[in-house]
Amino acid sequence: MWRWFHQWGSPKFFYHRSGALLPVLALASVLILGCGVVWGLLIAPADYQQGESVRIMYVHVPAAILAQSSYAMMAIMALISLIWRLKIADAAVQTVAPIGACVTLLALATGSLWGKPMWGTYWVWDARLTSTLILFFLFAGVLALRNAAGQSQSAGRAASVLAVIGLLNLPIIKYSVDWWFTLHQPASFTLTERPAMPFSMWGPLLMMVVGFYAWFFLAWLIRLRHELVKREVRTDWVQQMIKQ
Amino acid sequence: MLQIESLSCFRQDRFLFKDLNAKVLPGQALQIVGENGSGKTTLFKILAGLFDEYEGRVILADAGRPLYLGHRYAVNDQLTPIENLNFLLKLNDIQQAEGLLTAALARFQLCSGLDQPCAALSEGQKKRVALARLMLTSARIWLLDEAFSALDAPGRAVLSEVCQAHLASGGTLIFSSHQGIPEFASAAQLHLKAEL
Amino acid sequence: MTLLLRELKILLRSPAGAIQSLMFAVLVIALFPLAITPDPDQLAPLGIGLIWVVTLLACLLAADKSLASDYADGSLEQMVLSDYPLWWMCLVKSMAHWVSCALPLLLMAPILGAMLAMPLDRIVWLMASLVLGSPILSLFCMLGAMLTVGLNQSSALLPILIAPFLVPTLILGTQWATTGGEAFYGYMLAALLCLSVVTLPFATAVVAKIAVSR
Repeated sequence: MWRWFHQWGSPKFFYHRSGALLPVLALASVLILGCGVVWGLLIAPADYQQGESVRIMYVHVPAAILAQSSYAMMAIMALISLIWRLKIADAAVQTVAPIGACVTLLALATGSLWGKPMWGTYWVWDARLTSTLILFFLFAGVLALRNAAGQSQSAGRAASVLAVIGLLNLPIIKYSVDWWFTLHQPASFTLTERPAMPFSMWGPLLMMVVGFYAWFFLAWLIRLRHELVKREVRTDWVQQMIKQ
Repeated sequence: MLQIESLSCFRQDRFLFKDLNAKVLPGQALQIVGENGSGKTTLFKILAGLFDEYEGRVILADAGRPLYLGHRYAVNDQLTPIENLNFLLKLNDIQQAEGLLTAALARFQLCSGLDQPCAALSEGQKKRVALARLMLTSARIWLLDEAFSALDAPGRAVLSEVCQAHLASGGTLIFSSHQGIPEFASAAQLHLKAEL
Repeated sequence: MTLLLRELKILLRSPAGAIQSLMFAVLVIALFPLAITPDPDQLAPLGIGLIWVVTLLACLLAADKSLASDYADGSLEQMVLSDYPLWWMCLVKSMAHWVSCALPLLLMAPILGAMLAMPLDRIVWLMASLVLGSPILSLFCMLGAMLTVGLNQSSALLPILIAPFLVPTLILGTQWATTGGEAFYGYMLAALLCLSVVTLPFATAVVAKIAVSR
């Protein structure tokens, strides 16, 4: 276990081994996302209440799920980089933060587009939307700190501490927003509490979720490999690669 | 005793220094020499324990915590010299009678205005307040980064006397200075040259 | 204790910072009736929320100053190197921030409340919620100050980093005051305060070590 951890923690080993994953992830994300889009947008039935607008769900829900889990992944990487001082974990934090922020923004944008036909306005202070907005601010904080503090290792560690504290606070933020919401308006209609979905709807939804994850890991891996080469440009293995 | 073994520091995409080796025995002084930007301050921070992104080893053998005096020397403008000194000693858990504090300040030729906030003092005088700490500490290793700058000739003389007394009592001194200090002309030197 | 005395002495000799954040709060509260309406019936329900938001902003805006001089003159380095537990010093710094920033606002709350035509019982609950809530603000502000100290534009960066963390405090504090002291929110706010006091100084101490190595 420790050996495995050590091997994959080495930028050189990681770079050479992870190359094989790229085509797999690329193929998976294109295929699954393609099928999911066709199935969800063209074949799946329209909702009897919401009509065609329900199809936004096939983008919104995967984006919202991915937004939360990408923050968790970023914070776990941050914790690893703080405890074991793994350079690769720090690079992982740095490269996943912009992707996570974009996905969170996508979840917000699609959520507000979905809100228009459902609530009649683009923005409602719904508990879920509000906590997603705060999640976006958390991502923005990590990115801003990273940018302001430059490329040094101490900058990475400061951003990592912030990410970890953010993860620990996320449940507190989420619960407090929920209390706030239920106090102000008893939940009448939320995006998630809905009657059981037929397979013709959750099938494509599940496919989109898997596809989003595949795409996310692909984007992360590409960025991470790029970042590793940039950081290690003075080491022998990168110099050798440049020569070849 | 302080020993540095193959110390390398990589900062912002370049080696600040590479494979440094040095050994300072009790009663010895070591001068760190190098141009601006050659990593003197970083080396001091590493020795003090403020900066830990380096490779190699730093060994402080049974000497306790070193006393670090950087070119930012921790004198608060709102506090009087006595209060500043008290705070810095308190941080290292040293309790001294006020008489000793005034004596230490007097050694560095600060006799009046001890109950005025340090904002009224000149840069050199503030430095003397910080240096007065040397008279009261029990630390065996002194790390003085640019301690001689901003001082006038009498101030430098007092400081080198204090340092020599420290060496004579078996202490260790590591310092950097752009000016030559005649009293320490024979001290061992460690040259830093930034590698590009 | 000596450390706290040092902080208080520094505060007393340069009260400009504390006065500034107080003036900021009074000024902003004075702007709301001008921008919304002078009608007491419409202003009164907004009072608790407005004063809480202004307190939060005043704390955030003053936070970077509380560490700037210690960083610039090297005191922070000496604190990290000292034999004292670093978390205790971070706690002391948070207390000093609270005394300089939140305490004056807390004492001014009756006047601010009167400016917004709040009834007396509301003002009492507002002050109670600030007593429990504002220390949490100070603890987080000190964390933010430590994260950004020594960086360019730290005063602009700090609110972006820290504001999201203050959301639960804001929600629980305002809810507790508007519901007239409903026990649930009070307990939750107290629990949050305990949790913050126990954990945040340690996190700030970790960050302090990073800050001095910049």
